[in-house]
Amino acid sequence: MKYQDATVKRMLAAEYVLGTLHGRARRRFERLARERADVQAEVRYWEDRLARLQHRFKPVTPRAVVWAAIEREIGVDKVVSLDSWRAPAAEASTARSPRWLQAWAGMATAASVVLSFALYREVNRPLPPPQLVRVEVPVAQPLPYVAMLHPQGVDAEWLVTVSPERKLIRVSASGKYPINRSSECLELWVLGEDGKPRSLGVLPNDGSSDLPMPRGVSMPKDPTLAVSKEPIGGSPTGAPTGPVILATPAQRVS
Amino acid sequence: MVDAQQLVRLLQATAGGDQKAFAELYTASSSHLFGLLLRILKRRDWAEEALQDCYVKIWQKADTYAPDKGAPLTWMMTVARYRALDLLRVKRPEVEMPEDEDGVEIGFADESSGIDPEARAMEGEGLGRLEGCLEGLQEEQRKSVLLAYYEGYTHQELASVLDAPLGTVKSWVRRGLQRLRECLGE
Repeated sequence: MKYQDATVKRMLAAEYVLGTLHGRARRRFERLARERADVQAEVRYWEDRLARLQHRFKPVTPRAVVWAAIEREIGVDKVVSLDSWRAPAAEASTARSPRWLQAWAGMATAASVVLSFALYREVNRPLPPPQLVRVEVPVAQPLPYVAMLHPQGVDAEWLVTVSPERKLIRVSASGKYPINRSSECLELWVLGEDGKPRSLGVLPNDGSSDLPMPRGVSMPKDPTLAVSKEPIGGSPTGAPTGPVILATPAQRVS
Repeated sequence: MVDAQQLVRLLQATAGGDQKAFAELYTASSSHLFGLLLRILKRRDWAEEALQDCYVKIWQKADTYAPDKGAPLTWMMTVARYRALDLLRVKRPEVEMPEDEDGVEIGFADESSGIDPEARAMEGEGLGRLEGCLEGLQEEQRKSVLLAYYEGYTHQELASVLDAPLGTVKSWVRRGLQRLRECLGE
């Protein structure tokens, strides 16, 4: 690419700001922009002009959990970087961990593969009731709660691990639950000792996601996880508003 | 409406390490950034992750904001939009169109259904000169530019949603931007 060419430079800056410049070309252009004032000026030009379209984005108040996570990151736990905070639960102890833990770690990281395979085998057969995933080895450090969420009659499931001590919920989705993604989502709940549901966040449609454990939510001794269908972005009221598609116990790995 | 002067003060205090000012900045601005992130990323969990990244970055880089970079909210939303685009390319590397058969649109300021994004983007005030210049584009060019802006679509995704060959869509975007540049002037 001839960056010297003013027309090309202008066009790259425009496509960079618009977002249609992708991948390596985008990274290359970013490096160029850092070095060249004329390129920076062109980027600024487009940022400034296109920013006038911003007022069409409708403001949406984020859940309190996001601020809690930001506070945690910049505040008390300032030494903990974003990456380490998000590190998979099992990675910290892979070096000399017992075999069962490695097995669990493997299960968590390869969950989507395993689940896809399981689903492949389950195709066209009646789906089994929700199952617990159990690893029967006692250890000193607290281990996560684990549950396999498996809605009846639908080709989708989620492996959920909740680590209250790490304030982390890890979800691996497999298959597709039929919802209209532009207007609906599936929200994960934990039923507390008092029987009241508390939101743990929105389930991913596919792949793996880490959700921060919402502040003020604790895991009861024998927790039940539930999933409800909600409007996009999650329940507007803080309690389930749509149909509950499943409820299943979660087991503390012990 | 967010008071720009107040936001500048909060940003400057944040740059000095004032956590209370940062919390006020978040309260005053987060819904605007979150609306943008939700619109582009389409998923609350991704939008929340991106929002967190944005404010951590704003906390760390508040000192790099200068009023000549534009209004503070504009600057923060630009930061958010870039974050959303990066995250989108990582999380949605392949073409994956939202299921939109019933015409439900999320995250636009007017929830009147049945109006497509580019039509909505053209209505309302405050676009000034940009609006005039957008109107001067051919329809396909305007659609391509606005869909890329509001939905974060790649060329490939634009080709799919506009049902046109990739090369044609690339040229709509390029020509649209060229004509905008000529129309907007310096």
